[in-house]
Amino acid sequence: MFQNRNEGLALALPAAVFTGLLFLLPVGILLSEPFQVDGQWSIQGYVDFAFKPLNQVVFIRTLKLGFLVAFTSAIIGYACAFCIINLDGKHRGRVFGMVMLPLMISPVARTYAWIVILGRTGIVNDTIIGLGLSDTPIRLLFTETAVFLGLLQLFLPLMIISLVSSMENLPKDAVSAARVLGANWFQVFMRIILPLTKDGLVLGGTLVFTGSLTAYITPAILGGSKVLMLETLLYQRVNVANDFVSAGIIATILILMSFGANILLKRVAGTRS
Amino acid sequence: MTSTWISRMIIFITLAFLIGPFFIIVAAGLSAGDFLAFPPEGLSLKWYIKVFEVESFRESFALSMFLAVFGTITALFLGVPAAYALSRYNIPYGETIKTVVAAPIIVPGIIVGLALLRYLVVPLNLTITLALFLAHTALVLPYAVRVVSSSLNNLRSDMEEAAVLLGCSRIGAFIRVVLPNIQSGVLAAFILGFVTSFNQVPVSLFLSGPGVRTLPIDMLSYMEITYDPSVAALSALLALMSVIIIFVAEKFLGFSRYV
Amino acid sequence: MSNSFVSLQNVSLAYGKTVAVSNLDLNVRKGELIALLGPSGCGKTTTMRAIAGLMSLHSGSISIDGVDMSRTPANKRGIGLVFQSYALFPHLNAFENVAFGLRIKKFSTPEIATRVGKGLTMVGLSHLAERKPQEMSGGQQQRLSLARSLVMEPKVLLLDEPLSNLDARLRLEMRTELQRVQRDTGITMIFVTHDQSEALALADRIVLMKNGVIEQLGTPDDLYNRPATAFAADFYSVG
Repeated sequence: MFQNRNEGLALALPAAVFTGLLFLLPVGILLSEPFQVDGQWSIQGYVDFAFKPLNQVVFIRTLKLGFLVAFTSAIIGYACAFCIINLDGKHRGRVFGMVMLPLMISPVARTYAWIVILGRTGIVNDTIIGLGLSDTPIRLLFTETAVFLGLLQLFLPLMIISLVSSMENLPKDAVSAARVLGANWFQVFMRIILPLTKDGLVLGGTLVFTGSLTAYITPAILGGSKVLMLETLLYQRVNVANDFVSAGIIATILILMSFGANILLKRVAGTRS
Repeated sequence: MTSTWISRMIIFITLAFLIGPFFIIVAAGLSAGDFLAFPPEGLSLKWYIKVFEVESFRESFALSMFLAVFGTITALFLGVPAAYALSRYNIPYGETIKTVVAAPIIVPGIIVGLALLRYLVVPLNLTITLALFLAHTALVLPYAVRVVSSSLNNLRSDMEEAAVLLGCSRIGAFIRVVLPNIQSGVLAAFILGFVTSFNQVPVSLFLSGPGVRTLPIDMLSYMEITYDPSVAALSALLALMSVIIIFVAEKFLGFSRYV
Repeated sequence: MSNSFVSLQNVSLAYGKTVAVSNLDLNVRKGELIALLGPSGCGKTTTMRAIAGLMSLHSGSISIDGVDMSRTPANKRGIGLVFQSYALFPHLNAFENVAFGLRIKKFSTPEIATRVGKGLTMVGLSHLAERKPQEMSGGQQQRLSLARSLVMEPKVLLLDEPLSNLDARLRLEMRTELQRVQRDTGITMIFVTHDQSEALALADRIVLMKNGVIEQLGTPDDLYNRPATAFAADFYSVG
């Protein structure tokens, strides 16, 4: 009944054509633009871009924050996932739901709260001044730390969900067996949990890393023009300087990194026995 | 037992970090003062009320709603046949089509918005609303396909074959056998698409123009002018809306099965 | 008692607010093969986990070979536990599974090779040293789990429902196996079961439990011929 492959193709084609025309085509053109200098194909655009110090700073900063957020979320994620796994059914469902909840709320709302917390008249500063640790408010907003915290809060649920999902597949009693055989908790983690939850870690790590690289709202609100990341830089270049070449270059970098991470992910997931 | 206590603390602190800010916004929006502060100086609903009075918020809310509802419906019209084809047939270029349809998720939204603006909207002189509509549809499509596919994969194809053998036409079989069974999957896809579209910022960033803005973009530009608590109130309301939608979805659909 | 090797004194165990075991006193002699027997929910598995250190005591104390282990963590008690699910590590092959505890203890490589070799031979699995647990039959997995615990030369070996997952033939084989191991090594063994015929066949003494307390403690002969309570009589009635 499903032999007529062309019939199937016809059903799937509208979606594919829609996305292809509307999406791939314009993006493709955008990405090719930096290669055109005075009507000729050249990589001069890329070279110029790479040599500007600001671009270098932004690029390194974006990568750095991406790794930091991924790493931190992995640590917190494992701790949290382990605790969640050990909860009984009813509580586990509720906690899990609460972890997933933030994902459904607009990033604008989630990031905005940090303004209240980190602002000059915000909670942290009030506490610091109240405790007498400083006479004037410290500048916490528009720093890399602020962006880091914002991104961490944004993507931590993804890591937790991914790890919980993969930890659920741990053989029952494996941790207890390792304990009885003499392993301390560090050894249990390194020798049993980590090898067996590798897939979840890579999935979570990739999602968090690419998410952080391609985030716009959080760096925009918490970093502003003082702490530029690749996406906010892109926006600035286009809006302020009509610099579409830079836009295309940044876009290509971001896509390559996203794509690369996804391929890595498929590789690791595919090697699961 | 100390280990349970530690366990509870870890979860509590993590949840506080993740959800705490939400409560802070709600409280900040209740401030009676004129500045954004927490704890709020006095309690008042005036900012929550003001949110409904600001005309640009009303307009952008309407636009966001329109995009979310109709964009998702369109995405489903495109996506359900595609999901059906991908899961039942062994179509030529199947993998390619899968990748193409999933691509919008991989490409950062801001690039999509910019590309659409430069190479589609401007040359073809499309209205901003149309451009936003097309963009949001393309963005929701991958989610729609994924969720409906997952639903279809759980439905065995011999049911349709049985229906056909009993005299149904192919389309009849689809309508009578497949659709009722993937109902909750389609509904789940709708809700997921709705929430994704509504909260979307990067794509809409370049495409929005004066007077034609999605709500999140409107909020961002409002924030550039003033820091008054109305944004906090609005954020809180939006968050509440999302929470209620998801809660209802989970209650009636067992939503988490599909995501 | 002076010849008590594993001693539980006034032990109470609870899950949150639910009491699983109350005021249990038990003395296991060295080299003894003792069965914790009872219907599900009677507290036998909970007691076993408490002896292993996987569950903390609500009150009371546990000592092993004269040493108070009430607060000692599970990885320092020198106890072996064969889980009902076998709990083998799927990412390690048979050799590495058995070697796990030895590696933790930082034995030298040649020493590990010798011990693991002996362990696998003892349970008849040396030809499967490279296999992963998923690629073995249920009976083989169980023997592997047994070998993994035995190579550690534990003071006490705990077994959770060792015969329940096996078919009739394997059950007989395993029973003989366990008795042989016990004879050869003289290890003190405590096993948990809900099957009275298993307990009768294997154990030197049986601890019959119900609702978290000991109903009767005695030899198989005691329980079969002189049941102390209606429950005990019922439990051992045939048919």
